[in-house]
This record gives sequence, C-alpha cells and structure tokens, in this order.
Amino acid sequence: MIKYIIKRILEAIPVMFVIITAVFFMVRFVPGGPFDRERSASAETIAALNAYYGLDKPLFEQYLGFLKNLSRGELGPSYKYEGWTVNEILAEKAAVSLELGCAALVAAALMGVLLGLAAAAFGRSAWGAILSGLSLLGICLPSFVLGPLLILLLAIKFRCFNAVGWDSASDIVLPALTLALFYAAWIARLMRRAVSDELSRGYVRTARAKGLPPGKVYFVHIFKNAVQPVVSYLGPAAAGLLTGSFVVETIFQIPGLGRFFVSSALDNDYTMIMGCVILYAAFIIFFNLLADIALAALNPKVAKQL
Amino acid sequence: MENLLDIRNLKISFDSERSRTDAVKGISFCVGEDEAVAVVGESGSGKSVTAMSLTRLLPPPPLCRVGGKIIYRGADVAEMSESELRKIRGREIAYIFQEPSTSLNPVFTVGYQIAEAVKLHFPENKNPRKTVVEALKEVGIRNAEARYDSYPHELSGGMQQRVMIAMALACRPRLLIADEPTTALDVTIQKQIIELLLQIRKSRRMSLLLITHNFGIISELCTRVIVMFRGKIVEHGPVDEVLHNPQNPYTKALIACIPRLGMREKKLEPIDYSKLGEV
Repeated sequence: MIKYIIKRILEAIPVMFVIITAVFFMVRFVPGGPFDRERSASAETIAALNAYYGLDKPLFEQYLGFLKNLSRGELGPSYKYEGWTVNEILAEKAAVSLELGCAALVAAALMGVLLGLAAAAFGRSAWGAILSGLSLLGICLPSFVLGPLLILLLAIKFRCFNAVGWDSASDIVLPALTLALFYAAWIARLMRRAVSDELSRGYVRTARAKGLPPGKVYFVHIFKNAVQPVVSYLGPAAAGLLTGSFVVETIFQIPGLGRFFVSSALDNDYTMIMGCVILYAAFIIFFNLLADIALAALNPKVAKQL
Repeated sequence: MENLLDIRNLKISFDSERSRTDAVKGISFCVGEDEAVAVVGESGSGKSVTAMSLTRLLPPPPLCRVGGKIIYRGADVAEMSESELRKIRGREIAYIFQEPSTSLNPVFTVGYQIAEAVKLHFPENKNPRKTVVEALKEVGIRNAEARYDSYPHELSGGMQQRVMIAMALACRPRLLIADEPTTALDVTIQKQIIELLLQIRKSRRMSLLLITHNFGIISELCTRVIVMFRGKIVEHGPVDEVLHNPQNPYTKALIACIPRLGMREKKLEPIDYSKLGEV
C-alpha cells in the first residue's frame, strides 16, 4: 500500500510538469499583458514595469526562471495585487475554498448515500418515484438558481442563516449546501442503481439463506459492494467541487480562491494563474489518490492490483 | 416415522404485469430423517424454485405466489413469522448453490462469512473462529487457519464450493439442500465434491435434497429420486429402479442423455419433446 502511494505521487510529478508547462505558454499566447489595464500608465511606464518583473526577457528564459523559483516553492509576485506574493494570496484564500469544498463533499456523500439507500429500499413504490424525481431535480438545478433560492428561503424568510458573508461559523451551511446538492443528487442516483444491481446477486441469496436479518443483508453485505462506485466518483467530485466554487463564492460573497482564479485569468496575472492551476491540480491529484485508496480498502480485488 | 419435510400439492407461480407463469404445478413428496433424495429435471422444470420455496426465499407476493403446504418437522412454513423462519434458515435447513463464485460475497473474507452464520445461530459460542476453522478442515481445505482470512477470489472454484459447504455445515443443519452443487465445476472437481458430500452423509445424520439435471451424479449419493418436467413430478421411486427401469418417456429420454464411456458409435440424442406428448 505505501509502495503504491509513493508510486502514485511519483507519477504525479510528470503530470504536474506537463500541466505547468502547457499553462505557462498558453497564458502567454493570450493577447495583452498584465499591465494593459493600468489606464494612466504611459508606454514607458509599462515597459519599465515589464522590465522590473522580467517580462521583457525571452519567453523560454522566463519559463526557466519560473521553474527555478517554483523549485524553491516561490510562485513570484502577483502583477495585479501590488505588494502581495502569489504564495501569500493562495495561503489566505485556498484555506477558505478548501474548507467550503470539503464541507460540501462530506455533505454530498452523506446525503447522496442515504437518499440512494432510501430510494432503493422504496423501489418502485410512490416514495421511490418521488426520491428519483427529487434527485433529477437536484441534477438539473444550477447553483446560480439554487443559491438565491436557499438565501430567499432560509436566510430571508426564516432567518436561520446570514444571507451572505463569511464571518460566523454557520455561514458555511448555505454555500456548502448549494455546492453539494448537484453531487448529492448524482451520488444518490449512483447509489440507488448500485443497490438495485446488487440485490439480484448470488451472495444476497446466500446471506438470506443462512438466516441473516434483512438489515444485515442490506447494510453489511449489499452496502459494502454498492458504495464502491460512489467512492470512485468522490475523486472527480472533489475536483468539481473545488474548481466549481466560483459561482457559489460570488453569490455568497465568500473570499475564496474561485474568484481569484477567474479574475486572474481576465487580468493576465500570469503568476497568479500559475499558482491557482498548480494548487487545483495538486488538490485533484490528491483527492483522486484518496478515493483510490478508499476503494482499495473496500475491495480486496482492487487492493491486490495495487 | 415422522417425515422431516413434507411437501403437499406445492404450487408456485410468478406474476408479471402481463403474464403469469406456473413454475410448479402441484407436486407432493417428502424427505425423511437421514435420507438423501434427488430431484432431477432440466432447466425450467421448477426444481430450483421448489428448493427456494422451502424456506420462503422466493420474492414475496404479488411477484410470486406459493400454494399448497410445506411442513417442516410438523410446522407449516407458510405460517411461520419472519423471525421464526430465520431460525430455520441456515440452522435447520442449509443451502449450497450452483455458482460458488457468485454465491460468496467478494468483499468479505470466507472466514467472516462462515462465522456470521455461526454467531447468528449460536450466540453462546465463545470461539466462533475455532468452529469455522474446524468446518473448513472438515470439508478438506488444507491450511484452514490461514484460509480463514482469504477472500473468495483467492480460491479456486472447487475451494469456493467447499467453503459454501463448510458454511452450510458449520451450523449443523438437519437438512442440506444442494442446488446443482457441481454444475459450474470441472469434471474432476465435480467428483471431489460428490465424494465430499458422500463422506459428510456418512459422518453425520443429515438429510440431503440434491437438485440436479444430471442423472449421472445421483446414484452414488441418493436413495430416492423425483423426476420433474414442466412443473410436475413425472416419476418417483428408488434410484436403482428409476435408473434401470424408467417408466416415463421423459425419464427414459433424460437417462439416454447420460454420456458413458465407449459410446462412440451411438451419438447422444437430444430430447425430442414432440414425441413426449403431455406427460
């Protein structure tokens, strides 16, 4: 297992390298530069700024310089937020996004698994149909509709939570719910499908034939098999939650990384873009690894292949 | 002598929205204490659903309806509560199924799966692991102590079927229902499993209901045979009599399908159902 984890981390290094290189050159080929929007600046000032940050050097030399800084863990100064380094901004904002993303992931997994189990237990009855309909609604409802709806209902009408902001501990609830609902609905459908597939398996018959009560058949034998597709999905889901938080962060006025990621791309803030991409890529690789390890813990056949 | 299992006019039908299938159309037979009975028939003859109905393992109505009476040791199975039934399943009547590879749960160790039955039926047992290891030894699994922690996919098909048998035996049932126990296995392994069943029959006072489509394997194991065709019993009698002097045309055709050594000249004949008429 430890060997496998080390192997996966080593495999991630070339992947990261390709991502960094591709993104580095891609953003440079986008027309414009980081200081084009400084309205008052004259051509000489911009040239001086470019020279100050080393942006007038040949592209490949800049690339090597970036890699050299990166190897020391330095991402360089932000071109947009004067006086801040990218490291400082990431350290402050990423924690917020990560907290929100993890809360949403846990909420999505719990709600999805429970709803899926319930939907499978109700089968084709009216309740089963209602739960299926709800999960379809959850998949179809975009977060820019769901977020304001939740604010309207839970913050303005019933005053359970603050409408926007990131000050008190309960402020995480509404954005996390908004972010989680799509994934919860998707997981519920995965789970329901998996449980109804497992119901017809031979081992279920064996378990019943040896006299096990239905609860044990359902929650021990079927569950450990049926939850596996959900666990594999949690890796990509984590990636989606982290990178997809931009809309939710905007709706709820949360000082997270999502907004910086989008604005840095608009501003041609090269170092900031690189910092966000590297961080997101690392998160995605990490959560996929975590999902694979969890899957191996559940399924000895998978563990054997590691 | 009171029969262990008495089946009277058993009828089983499956209902779907459009059609109704009568799988078993009124059969009666019994299994005595320490007796081995074979039920022989082709796929779809209703033999497996009969086996499943004995402890009410079939889907509940309206999907599946069971009529007639199943009397186990004087008690009507249809009138038992779910919790009474669970004390019969595994403890009194144990099953072995056709496909050992799918009958075991892939994500639990074989030891856990056997121990589960032991803990359920003998909660007072202080050392279920020991009971399980003994059961594994009894079915001829070498290195039983280490095999306790193996997962099903780490075992061969024959070993998996031995595990299924150990699971069935661990709770010392009175009746073992073996539903096509050798069909999914290689011929050499089939022989080993039959020998194992034979040896268990000798060492324990346990009844056996063997369900198979293969006339070849019953003569060693069973004393009485029931031949089923399209949900009905077409012939019923001692194995030797039925094998050597079959009365029903379907039984004759079924026996003609047993391949024997030195029958190169004569090809195996498929059963011509049009000649059988209404049996």
